[in-house]
Formats: sequence, C-alpha cells, structure tokens
Amino acid sequence: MNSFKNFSVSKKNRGWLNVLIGVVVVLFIIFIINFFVSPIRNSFYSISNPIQKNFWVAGASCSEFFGSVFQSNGISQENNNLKQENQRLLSQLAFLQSIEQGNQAQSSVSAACQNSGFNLTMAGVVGLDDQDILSISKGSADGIAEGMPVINQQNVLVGKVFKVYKNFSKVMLVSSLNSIINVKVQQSDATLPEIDGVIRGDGGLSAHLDLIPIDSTINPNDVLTTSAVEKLFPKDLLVGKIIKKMTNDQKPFQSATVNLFFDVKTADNLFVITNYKQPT
Amino acid sequence: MWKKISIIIILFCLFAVLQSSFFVNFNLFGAVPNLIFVLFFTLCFLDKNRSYYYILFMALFGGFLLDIFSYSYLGPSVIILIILGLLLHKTQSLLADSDGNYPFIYFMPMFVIFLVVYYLLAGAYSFFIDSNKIITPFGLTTLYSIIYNCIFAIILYFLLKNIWPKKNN
Repeated sequence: MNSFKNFSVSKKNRGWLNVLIGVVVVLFIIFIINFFVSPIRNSFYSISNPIQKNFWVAGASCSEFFGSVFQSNGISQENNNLKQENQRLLSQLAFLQSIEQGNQAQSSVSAACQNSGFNLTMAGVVGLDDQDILSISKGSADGIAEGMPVINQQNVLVGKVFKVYKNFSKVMLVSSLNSIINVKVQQSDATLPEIDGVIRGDGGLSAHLDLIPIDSTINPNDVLTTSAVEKLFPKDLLVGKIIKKMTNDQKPFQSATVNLFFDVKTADNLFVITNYKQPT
Repeated sequence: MWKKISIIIILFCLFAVLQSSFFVNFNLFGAVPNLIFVLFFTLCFLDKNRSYYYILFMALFGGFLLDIFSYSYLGPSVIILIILGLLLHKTQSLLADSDGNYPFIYFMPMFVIFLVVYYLLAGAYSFFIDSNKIITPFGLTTLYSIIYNCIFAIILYFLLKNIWPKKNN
C-alpha cells in the first residue's frame, strides 16, 4: 500500500521530474558547449555576417530617411547653429594660422610621428549588443588582437578591441559602462591650456566627462581628444564635445554631459590600428 | 508539429539578426529592443498546450541566440529563459479565464514584470559570474528599453494571436 502511494505521487510529479531531467541535460550541454565557444561563435558569425551586414545597411538607410522626415523642423535651427559654429571656427582658424607659422616645423614632425606608420585594417560593422559592444567583420586571421584601438575615417575614437575570434571581433565602445578613457579638453579659446579629464561610458551609446579639476573652466562645445596619459590610444583622436557642464559643490571635480562624435548609425566601416605601440 | 518548430526557429534567427543589426539604427535613447525575449515571452504566453518541452525548446534556442550575439559565456541566457518560462507557465495556470485563454489584460503587466525580472537575473549573472562585469544599472535607459520592448510585444501579441493558431495548430 505504501509503495503504491509512493508510485502515485511520483506519477503525479512525473512532469516536473521530466523537466528536471531536461534542465540537467541542458545544463550539461551548456557546460560542454562552452569549451568550444570560439569556433561556435565564429562559425555562426561567418554564416550570419552577410545577412547582418545587409540588415545593418538597410536599417541605416531607413533610419536616415525617417530621421530626415521627423526632424525637418529642426533642420533650419541646426543650419543656424552650424553657421554660427562655422563663424566661430573661422575666427579660431585665423588665430591658429598665426601661431602655426611659428610651430609649423615642430607640428609637422609631431604629426608625422603621430599619424604615419599606423597600419589600419578596415572592418565592417555587423552588429551591436545591448551593452555597447560592437561586432566587426575582422578577427585574428586579419591580424586583429585584443586592446587595439578602433577609429573611424574621421579619426574619431570608437573604442578598443575587446574580444577576438578568428573571423570577427568585439569592440568595446567608448560609451560602454566599463570604458574609462583619459582625455584632454581642448577649449574654444586656443590660448588656454588643455585640461585633463576622463570619459566614462554610461551605456546606451552615451558617456560623460568626469574628473575635471574644480578650478578649471570648461564650456559647452569644447572638444575632447585622447590624451597621451592613457597610453592605450594614440593621442589627439577625436572623442566628443561638451554639451553641458555639471558642477556639484560637494564633489572635488566637475563633470559634463558629452556628445560623442562616434555615431553608430553612420558607422558602416571602421579602422583598427594594428601596430600602435604604447609609449614607454 | 515540425512545421511549427521550423517556423519558430526561423523567427528566432530572423529576430536575432534584426535585433543586433537593423534595430540598432532605431535605438531609442540608446535602448534597443530585445526581440528574442519578446518572441519567447509571447510564444510561451500564447501556447495553449502549455507544454514544458515547448518552453524548454524555445528557451534553449532563444537563449542560445542571445548568448551567441553577446560577448560572454554561452548559457546564461538559456538558463534565465528557462527560469522565466517555467515561472510564466506556473503563473499562467492561475490566470487563465473560463475558456482557458489568456486575455491581453494579463499580457502587458506580466510582460513588463518578466522583462524586469529578466534584467535583474541578467544583472545578477553579470555581477556574480561574468568576469567583465558590464552591469547595466536601472535607470532611464532601462525605462526606455521597457517601453520600446512593450511596443514590439503588443504588435507581436496581436499578430501571433490572430495568425499563429490558424496556421500552425
């Protein structure tokens, strides 16, 4: 009688038992499959890459189209802003041209040291996950290694190579929550000294400027570039510009909201700097 | 049966690719829809047979795709979806109306709750297990993400509710 009772209970719970066995089997498969994660991911990306690329381009085109439709009201305002900014830049240019003559020789040598000799590997963007990790279509087979800086064609810093597979790589964007990059604030008034700070990723394709000394003056539209202090990225790569500064009296540093120059929507192709050696 | 499974596999693959490529260009203040989760939840919710194997299969396949497109180990999303699938199964048995259907009025609140639980479990995984510890804090982006996902969930709910049973059951 007792055994019959036990049998009826186990029959009642057979569904749950089956689920439990199923879950254990799944966990076992997951455990085994993680030993082959690289080839599995690489094979999957090799198959999905052409489709993803097409969807990416289609998405960018659609986004551009809808963006132009919905933002038509703001175009005239943006045009005015651009005109004003252009005038401001022209005045700065005139000022800088006068300085340039004196520094031309030194600047050209510096520029040559900075920019020449960089081997760039072009890679197509194929996807983005929700933690600001971008997938690009080049991997270890193309000479990509972890930690390499990634820029776009306008010399804007995109991020650094985070994980490498045979035929594709993951790039941690500047906006990723784990990203902290030393930058210089190049002020609108070129006579003022540069200010050091850091860009902290906020996730969701946004970031903010932090650790600006409280006695330093920063202004909206000040441009941020990579700093030599970092040693992870070549210096003077464009990063973003300040939108609004935030001062908190209880904090010893200032921070600011930043508009990153890198726009994921316009990033069809990126460039990986494959031979950047960190200065010693 | 096989036709239904094939369609589910194709839908999951299509949604995975769309999520990581097409919809990135339509991010809402940085939030991108999690189409795989939306599909998984909606299919589980609308499944009238309420089969454990069906939930396990979808959690396995959907979670695998989520993990493939992430940077971390393979498996955490599978486990999270299994947990959520079983929870949903249990919850639904309490909520079915007299005809055994699950009306829309239950769908949206449950979707939001399960999405938040999904974020919590994913965050817990990142915090305790993932070596890179990229933990997305709850904030405005999460709110945008929930709203964005809800829009897709509503569309998918009515599409599947009207099309799915007629063609595949």
